[in-house]
Amino acid sequence: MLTGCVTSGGNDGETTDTIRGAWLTDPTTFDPAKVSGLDDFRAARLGFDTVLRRDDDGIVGGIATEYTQSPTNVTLTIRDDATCSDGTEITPTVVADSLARLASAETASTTAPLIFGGSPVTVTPDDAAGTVSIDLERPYSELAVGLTVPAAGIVCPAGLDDPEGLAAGTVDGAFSGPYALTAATPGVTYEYTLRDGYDAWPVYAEPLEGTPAVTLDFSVGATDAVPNQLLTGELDAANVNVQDLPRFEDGDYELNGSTVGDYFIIFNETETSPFADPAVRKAAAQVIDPAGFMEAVNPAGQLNYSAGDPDLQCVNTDASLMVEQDEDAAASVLEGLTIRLIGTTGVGVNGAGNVYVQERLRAAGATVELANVDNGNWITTILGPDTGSWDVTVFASINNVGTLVTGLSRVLGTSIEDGGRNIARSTNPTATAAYTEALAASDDTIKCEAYQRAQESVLEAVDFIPLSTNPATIVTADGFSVRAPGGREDLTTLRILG
Amino acid sequence: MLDRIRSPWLSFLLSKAGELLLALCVLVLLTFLLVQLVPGDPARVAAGVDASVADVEAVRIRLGLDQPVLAQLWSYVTGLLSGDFGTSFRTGQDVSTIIGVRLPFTVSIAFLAIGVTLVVAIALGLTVAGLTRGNRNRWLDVSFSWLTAGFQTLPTYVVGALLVVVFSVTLGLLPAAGANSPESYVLPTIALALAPICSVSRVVRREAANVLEQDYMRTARGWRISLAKQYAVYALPNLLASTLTLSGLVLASMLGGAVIVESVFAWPGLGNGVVEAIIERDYPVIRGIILVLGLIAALLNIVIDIVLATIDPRTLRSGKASS
Repeated sequence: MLTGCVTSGGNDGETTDTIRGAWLTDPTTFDPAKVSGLDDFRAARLGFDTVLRRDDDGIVGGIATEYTQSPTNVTLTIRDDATCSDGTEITPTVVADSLARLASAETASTTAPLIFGGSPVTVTPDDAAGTVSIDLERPYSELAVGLTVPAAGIVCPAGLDDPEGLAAGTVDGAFSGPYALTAATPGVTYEYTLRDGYDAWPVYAEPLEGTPAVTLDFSVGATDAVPNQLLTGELDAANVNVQDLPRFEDGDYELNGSTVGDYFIIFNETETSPFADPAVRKAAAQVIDPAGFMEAVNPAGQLNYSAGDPDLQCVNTDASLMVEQDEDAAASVLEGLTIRLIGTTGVGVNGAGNVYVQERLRAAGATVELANVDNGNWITTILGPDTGSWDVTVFASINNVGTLVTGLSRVLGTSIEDGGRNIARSTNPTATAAYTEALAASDDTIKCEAYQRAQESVLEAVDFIPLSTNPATIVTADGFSVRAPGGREDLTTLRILG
Repeated sequence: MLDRIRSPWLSFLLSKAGELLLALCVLVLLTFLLVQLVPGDPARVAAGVDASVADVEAVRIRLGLDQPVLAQLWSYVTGLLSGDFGTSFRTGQDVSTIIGVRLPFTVSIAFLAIGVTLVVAIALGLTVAGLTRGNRNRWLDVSFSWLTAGFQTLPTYVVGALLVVVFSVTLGLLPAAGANSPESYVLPTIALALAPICSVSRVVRREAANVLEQDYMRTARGWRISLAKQYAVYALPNLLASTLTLSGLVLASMLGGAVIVESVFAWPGLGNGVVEAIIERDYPVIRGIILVLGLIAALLNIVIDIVLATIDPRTLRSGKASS
């Protein structure tokens, strides 16, 4: 049984049972069903265990010890020793109540469609058998992966009884995860304390070294200050931007990578844009070099060959499906075109990735108007109903769910205006049919084969251009460690090394 | 007869109260309207990138953003009159709670910097004026002018970054960021106060140079009054009027400087709060924080006017104390 204790972690050799980290912003909510920002996901992961967890080789148990899956069902066997932070036993009924709430229309979770596939859900507990059965009206082969997402964290009955308190993080008995939120000063600091007797740690293929901290202390601060605080010893572990990583390459620090999401080019394929023409899209792909983009944005990333990173199940890894670079051919199509490019300032330092794309298109003779904007402007423009104000965007996809659905749904299926997620407003019946098959697949082999056909079709039609991963790096000081199981950040893996 | 019995202080204070009320009204209107001009849909930002169109519209209704602008303004003003600053679009917290948590951090750093500025600038300006009186120590006069002019032009974020590199990262003497200890106040205070110290000390030095040449100062020196008493009792009160007048402008601008300092040092004050709120299109928080900062600046100027009137009651009769 892992318990917190005083160990010798810390870069000055002093003993400690606390790990000091930093979050970029205040979480908007402590209700896992309502998460939206990155810090929301972090808070959810710490306080609420999911039934399943990601590992490097697939899925491992969390609150559930095992599961079976079909296209319209996942049945979980719930462990018999998990408890809530108020001592309430986590039974199949407790699990079912939480998942049913997550799936309900009343809760209006924006992550639920990516977890459950968007169709009506029935969650049935069997306390005697120790199981929970999740039944979907329409097939969705990504349900098991979806259940590993922090948004699917199990909220204990005390939290379900007080939704407002749950959102504020003030319900002491709501937590099912290893840590309970014990102090919160918005804008300043959040303190989590290891629950006494917690013993539901996932069993990863490669066991974690070290001891969990008794206290996790997260200060809320400016990104630019965090590297300095790591160097001065004020912090033990924190995310560091790519431009500051060289400051940690010499010295007793570990750089721990994970994938936040992906970058890809999405075209506006409506008639208001020149990219309604597949030839123009292909020309853009012939001149935008993903390797050059990655160099401009974050050399620590990896090249993508699909709308998802290499860690995702069924992702295309065949580089031959990419459009070959051909500047002359591109120029013959793009010369004289006026293109409206939009991207956020988060695509590399101050939008360096957007500028790279702009310059590549300019090199081919196009006139490119770049809108390098903040997230609020970008979301309003790209996800709003007015498709007449942009032609192409560098999309920084945040893939907290960790499936191909997150990325592919941005270029396939129902458009934003009709209630879907298709930003490109593209129509690709072949890809859509294969995508639907993948989501209805009865096993992984069939699923991956269908996904591959869908990806090949969208790549052939150049409905998007894969670029690179969007990596994040947690720097840990000497004496501390963290892991990213399955390539996704997981702060419950923070450890103090002896 | 009424003019004879009416207290000049009463007229002065009523006048200042009127100015404050007018400033508040303008602030309330401006903060409401300016935020409307910020591009981007706050409902879409609040709902998140994975929200459907239906989700966004539900959020829009919940936040009251579906109402006409005038209805929103009315709701905002009536809320303010009952002490309700609204709730954050992002976290659902009361804006008054958010401000209540962050305000002490901003006020403490700003007023500490103001105090340091006044003490150091007056002492420095007086000392240099005294040492260079009668064209003595010309080198000191030139050095002082050049150094203060140079440091005055350094942007606050550059000063802050340099202080962190030297005193935190390299020497390890002081914290680099955060507000976790008394030592945390040192570097942000220096970063915030450095430029105002330079500008105020230059004014003090110039004014002191004039004052020190006045007949009453020569008389004081002739009477062998101690140097400390000469400066403290005879020179300083005559400097304060012009010093405080300029200082009012400088010190009010330090509230704006605090925004930058808070970003450099991850200081959890109103400055950081308003930057986050702007990024997130959190209208109520933006309005609340700007309103409070504006109110503090207006109150600061009134306090300075009152101090000046106390020092020089002639300003009461003229009806105008300072800027």
